[in-house]
Amino acid sequence: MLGQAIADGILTGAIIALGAIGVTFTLAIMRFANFAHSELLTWGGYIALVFVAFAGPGAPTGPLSFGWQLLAAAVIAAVLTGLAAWGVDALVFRRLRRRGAQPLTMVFAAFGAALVMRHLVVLVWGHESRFYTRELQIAVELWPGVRVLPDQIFIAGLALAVTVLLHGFLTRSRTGMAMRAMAESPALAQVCGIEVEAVVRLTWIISGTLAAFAGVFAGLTPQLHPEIGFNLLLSLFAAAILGGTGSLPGAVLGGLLVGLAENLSLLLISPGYKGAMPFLLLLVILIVRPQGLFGERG
Amino acid sequence: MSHLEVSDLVAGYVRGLPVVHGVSLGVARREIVTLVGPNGAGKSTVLKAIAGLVWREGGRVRLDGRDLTALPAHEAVTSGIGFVPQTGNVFTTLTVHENLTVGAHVIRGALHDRLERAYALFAPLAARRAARARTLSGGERQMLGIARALMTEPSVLMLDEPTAGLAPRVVEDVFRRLRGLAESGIAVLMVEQNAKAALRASDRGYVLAEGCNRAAGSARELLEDPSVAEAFLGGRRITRC
Amino acid sequence: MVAYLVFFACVVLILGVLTLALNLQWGFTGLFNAGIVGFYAIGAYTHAILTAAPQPQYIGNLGLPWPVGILGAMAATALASWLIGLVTIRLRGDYLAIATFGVAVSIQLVALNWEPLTGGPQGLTRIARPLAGSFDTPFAFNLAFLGLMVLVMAAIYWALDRILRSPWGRVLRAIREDETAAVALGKSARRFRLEAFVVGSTLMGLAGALYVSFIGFVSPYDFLPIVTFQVWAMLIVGGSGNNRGALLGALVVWAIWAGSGVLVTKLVPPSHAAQGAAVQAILIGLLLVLVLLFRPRGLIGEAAVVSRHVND
Repeated sequence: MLGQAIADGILTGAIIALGAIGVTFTLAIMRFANFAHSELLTWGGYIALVFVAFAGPGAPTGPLSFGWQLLAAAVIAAVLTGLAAWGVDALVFRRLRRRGAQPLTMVFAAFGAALVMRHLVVLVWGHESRFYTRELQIAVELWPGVRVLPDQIFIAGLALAVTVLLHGFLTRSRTGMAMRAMAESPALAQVCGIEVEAVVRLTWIISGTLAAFAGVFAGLTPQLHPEIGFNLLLSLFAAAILGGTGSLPGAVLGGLLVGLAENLSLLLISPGYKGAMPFLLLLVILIVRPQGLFGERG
Repeated sequence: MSHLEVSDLVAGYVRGLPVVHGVSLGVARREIVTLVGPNGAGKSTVLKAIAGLVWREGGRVRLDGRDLTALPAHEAVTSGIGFVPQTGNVFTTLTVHENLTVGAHVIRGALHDRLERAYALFAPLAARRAARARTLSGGERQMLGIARALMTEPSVLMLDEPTAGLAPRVVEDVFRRLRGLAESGIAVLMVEQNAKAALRASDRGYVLAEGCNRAAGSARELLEDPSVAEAFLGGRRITRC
Repeated sequence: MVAYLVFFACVVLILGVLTLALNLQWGFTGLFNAGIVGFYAIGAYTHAILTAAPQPQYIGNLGLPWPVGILGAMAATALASWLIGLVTIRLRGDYLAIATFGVAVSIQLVALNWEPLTGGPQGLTRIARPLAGSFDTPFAFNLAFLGLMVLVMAAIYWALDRILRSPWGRVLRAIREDETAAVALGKSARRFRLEAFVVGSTLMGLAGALYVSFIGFVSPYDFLPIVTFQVWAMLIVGGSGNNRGALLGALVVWAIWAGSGVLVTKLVPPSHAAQGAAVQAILIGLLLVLVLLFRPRGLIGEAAVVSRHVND
């Protein structure tokens, strides 16, 4: 039981981590809680659905339930969602920034944008759940008492790969370093000649791209519906804050911990309350160590 | 004419509430100029206004004749201004090497030579190039802050309280390095609370109080002038100089 | 038609109480409560649990009289908001938003899951309504309830006005406007904020109790996050920092919501009801964003309030 909960926790955690990375950089660089971020996951999932509707998910490759076509759809969705995120910023948030709007105003605007984004999906696709593939999967027994679907293992591996790639970008490229610099201190970054708007744009695009992958992965295990991003909102924020805003390793570790907490809690309380776990974790972190695991105080 | 020329600068943190009410100063290449004055005089604000980090509501900033007043903060550095703020002058979550690389953000192309020059000038940093800036000592951080600002080879280097919290021996070292930098052609402008020590290491100085010029002259004149002490103790509240 | 308008007016007045309460917390104190629906739910469920007709499968359903339900709802919400506020008031703005949002989600989950107490997904029925036995028709009851709501609203409006003019209210405003004053006051600033939070939340609980005593039953699906967004839209559209603005906003936004709902049912076939509801939500979202972009002060908000949204 415990082993299964841990395995499930890691797999859920991988998806949360991908979404939390975008949240952590938005919090650090743009300094407001972007309630619309979770809708980028939903959009990513549904954009991929469009491509799967045309090209199909592909014949099952090996033990997986899909072929390379789904991955291609995910990549296309990632690109388009990144652009969409940039678009949302240009339409709404950049205008507010130009006027010197307070962070809380940005949060209100994010509320409104999230409502529009989520319900546009309902408008087009309705409330019913959708599936990328109808293929049934046989769970693999990793070791006694722990069964996982091959899709889940693949997703965890892919999430890891994406994270490693991003980490490389952030630590080895000058643009990536500029982003980390801005996440720590916008004033000092500007003194170095880094333009705030350029980094903000990049942050939105990266956030949208990662969120799209998270949305597709969530939609794959096992289904896609318009609330898929919104249901993860608290988990994403809990993970980002737990890890310490502005930290990639923090967001990843935070995501895994939130996933583990949610699944381990199932051993103790009724599944109906699972949604309250990230909130409890968030409260604990905000009281005990508000800067998060990898964050700096003050 | 000075290399950096500031005329009648009005600036503050909140628009409509200036802290600096019309300050003028100039710095030539190869000289060290220090701004001194009591707390709240607006000295740091003057530097931040030149760098474009606070609201500038009046006056002009000219560098080598070019008007910089309307430039946004991130473009000041391409014009040749290097700024070492008082707090938060290094990126603590980045390594020494990354700090220097980010410092050269506006420089296209290979940084290898510049980096090597920085490490040659600041030997202690070379030994710790892979260390996170958070782990450096106060003196090393100050050195990194200066080295970071020098990566773009600025013609003006501004420092806000470069010796704050440093041991006397390290303070000497900092002033010595600044003299070396000035001699290599840079115009150095600094704000210092440690007025006597800073003036002794400078060529000229300005005394500011309550956002206005109070006195100016060669460093020696200021050190020997009794009314300078008085300006430090002045207590009138004013809104225009 | 008249019957519908009476019903509409009652709902607007109940939502108006919510908006006034939010105005106290945000407009006058600067607290970002993103969990409005949670406190609304606590009041609603407490009233329901105290007054619903007893049934063997429920722990609550104590069948107590209506006034007990109302007072009990206010007390429960006051206590809950005090405890929550103790933990969260010190958080910076958007973290407070996330925390209160989480509170509301958790409360809704409890309502949905703790069946012996809350009735779970089915909710609770046969809740005490004020003088329900005295009226022959639903319309008569609604009309009387409207009268009650008008009295309640007048009382609350007057009381808030007095509170805000009092020394306590002036301190609150000073804290909101000037953070350095708040820092100088230190711990006391936090106490004032906590008090404003509790008073506002108690009013939200009252609104919840009034709501379920109006419709006679309680269901967890009446307490979804969209309610929080609707109330925020009401305050921002009407103009925060201004009680008249709050009421006007409640009227305008609910009229748009209800009106669009009517239009949707007329134009959209029942098979697409979900999409119709989506249009309503999109309208509210767009309204919020457009007001923030083009008229941040709202319809009749103070110009000074603009400084809360813009760093001009």
